[in-house]
Amino acid sequence: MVRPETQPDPIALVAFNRALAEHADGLKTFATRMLGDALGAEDVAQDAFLALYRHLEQVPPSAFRPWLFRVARNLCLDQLRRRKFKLRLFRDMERDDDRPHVPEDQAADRPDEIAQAREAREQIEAAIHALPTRFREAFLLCEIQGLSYEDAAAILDCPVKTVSTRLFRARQRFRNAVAEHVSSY
Amino acid sequence: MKDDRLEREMSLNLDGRLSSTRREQLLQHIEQDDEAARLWDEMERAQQLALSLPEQQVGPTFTETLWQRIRAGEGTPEAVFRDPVSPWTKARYLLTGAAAAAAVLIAVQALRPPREAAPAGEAVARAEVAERAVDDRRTTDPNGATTPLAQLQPRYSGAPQLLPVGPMSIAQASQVNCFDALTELQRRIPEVERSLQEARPAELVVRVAPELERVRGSTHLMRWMQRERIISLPGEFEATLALTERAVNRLQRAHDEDEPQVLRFAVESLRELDPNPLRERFEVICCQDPRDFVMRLVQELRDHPYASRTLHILPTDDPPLGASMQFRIGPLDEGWQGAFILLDGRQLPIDVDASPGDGSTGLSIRVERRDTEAGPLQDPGRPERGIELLRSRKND
Repeated sequence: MVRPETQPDPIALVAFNRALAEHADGLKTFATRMLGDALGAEDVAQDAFLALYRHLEQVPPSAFRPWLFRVARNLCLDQLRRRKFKLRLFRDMERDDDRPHVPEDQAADRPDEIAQAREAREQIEAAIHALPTRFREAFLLCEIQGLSYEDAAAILDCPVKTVSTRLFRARQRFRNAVAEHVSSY
Repeated sequence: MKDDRLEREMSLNLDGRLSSTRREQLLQHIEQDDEAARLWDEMERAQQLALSLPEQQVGPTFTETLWQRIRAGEGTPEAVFRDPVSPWTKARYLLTGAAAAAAVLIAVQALRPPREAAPAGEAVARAEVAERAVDDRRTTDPNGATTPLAQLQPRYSGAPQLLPVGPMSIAQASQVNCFDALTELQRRIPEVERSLQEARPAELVVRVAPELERVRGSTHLMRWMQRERIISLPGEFEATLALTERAVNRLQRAHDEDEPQVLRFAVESLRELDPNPLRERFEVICCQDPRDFVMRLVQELRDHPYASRTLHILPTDDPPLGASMQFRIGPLDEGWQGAFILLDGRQLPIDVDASPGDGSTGLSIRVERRDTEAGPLQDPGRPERGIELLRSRKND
């Protein structure tokens, strides 16, 4: 479909490029832990930026980040609802030859230490993934991505108090799930 | 404290959401109760575990593919506007009938823009940039009714991202990050100023200079961080510093990429920086004599009786004053406690009440310098050298 040509504001375009550099990885990280699928997460991140580009005139640069996360969240929930992606986090990650390289701890050059670290990481990821969706969202946005309660509330379309409660419950469950690692950290 | 309530308060404290009074009470309880201390330690460790997970990185072709999709005219994915509705909300709409359901449909419709912009070809032409106020722009929904754009936008504060207030290790890590950012800022501010001057000298300087002055204020702190006089920083400062750095980045980028627009971009980006959080919550003051601090503190309490602020009051000279003084001021109506001075790298708690003194809205503070013997502090409650902050009562 041919669309009428509209030039985006050059200033907004600069802000968009900046947002791309700053938030693409964070968006993918958020989507990966929502979906349990790194490839699908990258699509979600790209769709979110595509949507932002189409709405550059409506979204002030200061709101890019929460806007992107809200869009990413909607896309993730939509996919979860469609059951398009199976929540096989670890098996998908192991089979995904194209997944981005995650640097191992350079100081741990012994294979057993590397394997141990990877296993611990997988268990921590599994603990996050085991959280109920509404708790996991709050946890990923506030705990991992560092968004404020207010921004998370806007993204999740709920009161700030609800964000606080969900984050608290998520932290409780997460801590219990990784108790073994907490004691040795 | 009951366990759940205690744990909930600890969760709030991780995010810096407790008032200073409640935070002090919580920390006191943690110090006195082994079980509470264990729980707090576990919560902090669990947070660190979560934060230790590596971030996923987008693939090397991510940006290129995105631009290909944009140039191809691909529209916004449908699911972007599909806000999830909770089961209770669905039930409520069913109970209240079609009118409520219609309202939901209209709200969903209103979120969709009537037209989606698409770029032209390979290059984006440089258009004349006109001043427009975002809130005044309107869009038309499919029913033909105009709706203020502000009502269509989600509620986003755009506020600085507050970082959790953590233990000393996190504070020190923040200090390192702030130091790096400040160093970089100090290095780049002269370049930015030069670039802006080259773009349009007189007018630009007049409009941008006050904003840059606020940014420059952060460099004072850097000097004291270099001297390791400040061992902890509030999380809000780091968040605001990140915004400051971003503004400077934008200025440089604007100059590099779109020189004719530098003026508008400079003003917009600095305005967007919103230095008010930095100025209202955190200020660096240089004084020659610590006894001048008293006047400044009283002035602060009069000007901002209900705000929580942090002042760093720095001697302009090196020792003999020998220390920076950091005061955390809380809302007067809470009878704030927990203020402290930072003296030779150690925190000395101060118990100050908020009883009005000599008719003012604040409290009376007397600062007295003592000539003392050299040597490290032994008892935090009884400083042996340097500056002592004394409490002045109404009847003194």
